Amino acid sequence: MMRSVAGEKAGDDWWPRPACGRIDLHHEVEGNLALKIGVCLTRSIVCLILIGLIVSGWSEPCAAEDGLAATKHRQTVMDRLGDDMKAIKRYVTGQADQAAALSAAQDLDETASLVPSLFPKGSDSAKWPGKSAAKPEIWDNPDDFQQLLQALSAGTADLRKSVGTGEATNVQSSMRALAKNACGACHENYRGRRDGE
Amino acid sequence: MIMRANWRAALIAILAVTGMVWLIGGRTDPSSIRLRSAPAGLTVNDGATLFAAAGCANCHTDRPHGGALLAGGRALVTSFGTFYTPNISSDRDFGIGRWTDIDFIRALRRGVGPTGKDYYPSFPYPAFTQMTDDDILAIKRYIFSLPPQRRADRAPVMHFPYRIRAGIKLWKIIYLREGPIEPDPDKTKEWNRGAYLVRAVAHCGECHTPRDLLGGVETNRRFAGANMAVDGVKAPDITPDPKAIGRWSVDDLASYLDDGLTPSGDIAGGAMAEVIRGTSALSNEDRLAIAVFIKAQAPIPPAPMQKMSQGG
Ligand code: HEC
Ligand code: HEC
Repeated sequence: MMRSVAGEKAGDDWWPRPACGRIDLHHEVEGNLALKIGVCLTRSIVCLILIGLIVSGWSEPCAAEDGLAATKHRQTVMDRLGDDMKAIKRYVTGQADQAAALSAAQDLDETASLVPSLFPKGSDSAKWPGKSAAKPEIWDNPDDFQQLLQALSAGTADLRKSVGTGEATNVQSSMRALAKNACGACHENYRGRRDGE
Repeated sequence: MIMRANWRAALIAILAVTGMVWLIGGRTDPSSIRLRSAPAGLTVNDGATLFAAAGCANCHTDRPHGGALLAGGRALVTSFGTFYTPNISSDRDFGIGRWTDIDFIRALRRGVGPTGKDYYPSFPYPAFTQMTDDDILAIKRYIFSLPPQRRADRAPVMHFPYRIRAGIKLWKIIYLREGPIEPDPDKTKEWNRGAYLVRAVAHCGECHTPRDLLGGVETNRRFAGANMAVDGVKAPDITPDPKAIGRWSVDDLASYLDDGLTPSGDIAGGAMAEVIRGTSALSNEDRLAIAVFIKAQAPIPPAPMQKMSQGG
């Protein structure tokens, strides 16, 4: 009779005991699902918040950083134009030869073609005091500014041609015209000082 | 604030004294101006050059708004108030078309109008006073050769207490040294010509020399750089100090006054671009004379705050 007990025992062995572990396991599965939904919801919310941040708040500093980068880039290009002008001036005053002046005049003409792309909105001195010297008026007077840009490209092309002729007086008058009608005229109205208030 | 209050109290005291000066001294007697020399044969052309170098058109034309030549109306914003420059075209009703030679000399030499009105020194007569009668009249002749402009003047909008013109009388007693400039016999002819052009005509110091509280130029820091009275923009140190333009040669400076190109390849901007439009009308010799005079000044390092940089 004891066998039956043993059988019962075997049966008992066979039948999965309603062990705590098992019940807990079952519970855990149910808990996990809730948790999973929770986690997913939380993630969605965080995602939405992040997207919100990127769209509203974060994009602002990003665009602003672009304005600063554009300012720095503009200054590099302007410095290069200045170096070319200096080199051509050395030729006019007899301190450099025509070949040096010609390569400077070519570089000047090519570099000047970048200038129209150097003034994106948000790179002005009101936004970047002490860093940018580009007066906000540039964006208030697009037609006038456009005309000055045209004077620049005409002037650098003319100077390049004059240097090609090798006549110092030609070069001097072309350089003077470029300096006054394009560079000077633009700086007069549209370039402030980085140190000014 | 306290400084400001003291400052006002001092000004009121000054105005009281001025009132007495005015009562005792009376108005400037027009007949007290005498032409020092009969105007010699200076042509309209000479007048045009002087007119350009003196920058009369820069202030008296509202270029930012496309105003007509010498019709005035340009706003000059200063810490004392906002000036709207008067019409100085040859128009008989709106300009100075009825002015006699004496009227014109008195305005530039003493800062006094035909009716006895004292002008604010925002009109740089403290510089122009040093011009010769001949040169002043050559400028007048040139102005009268230009078309008249019909545009009414607009009164300046001054802060208290600068609104009271009588205060200018005292200012003149302290600061105005009536010219014309006397040549320095110990210096070369070129230096003297440069001194004349810099001080009397092109008035470089009006922008490049710092001013004291009352708006008088600080004579011991000549050309050491300043926040300009107009717009408060910085005009850099132009003494031969190594931190200023010590590395510029006389030729560098003379050619800068022609094309605006600095030895570092930069091109002048702002008010200086306007000045250069004037100095580029001068002869090469005159530009060299200016450069010789400026380079002969005592070097003064720029004020510490004044870190100069420019570009894009
Ligand atoms: C820096 C700017 C500036 C420059 C440069 C300048 N002026 Fe003036 N001028 C003024 C201002 C401002 C006034 C008005 C002053 C006042 O209201 O007290 C004035 C007033 C005058 C007047 C008096 C006009 C009137 O209707 O009473 C005359 C004349 C004059 N200027 C002539 C000249 C001449 C000539 C030159 C060149 C040699 C010149 N100005 C250069 C700013 C300037
Ligand atoms: C109306 C005011 C004004 C007057 C008058 C004036 N300047 Fe200037 N000057 C300036 C300003 C503003 C600058 C800065 C220019 C820039 O931003 O490119 C400057 C720049 C200069 C520089 C360049 C300095 C540097 O380190 O780059 C020199 C040199 C100079 N001026 C000389 C003169 C001389 C000489 C005269 C007289 C003939 C004169 N200036 C009259 C306002 C003035």
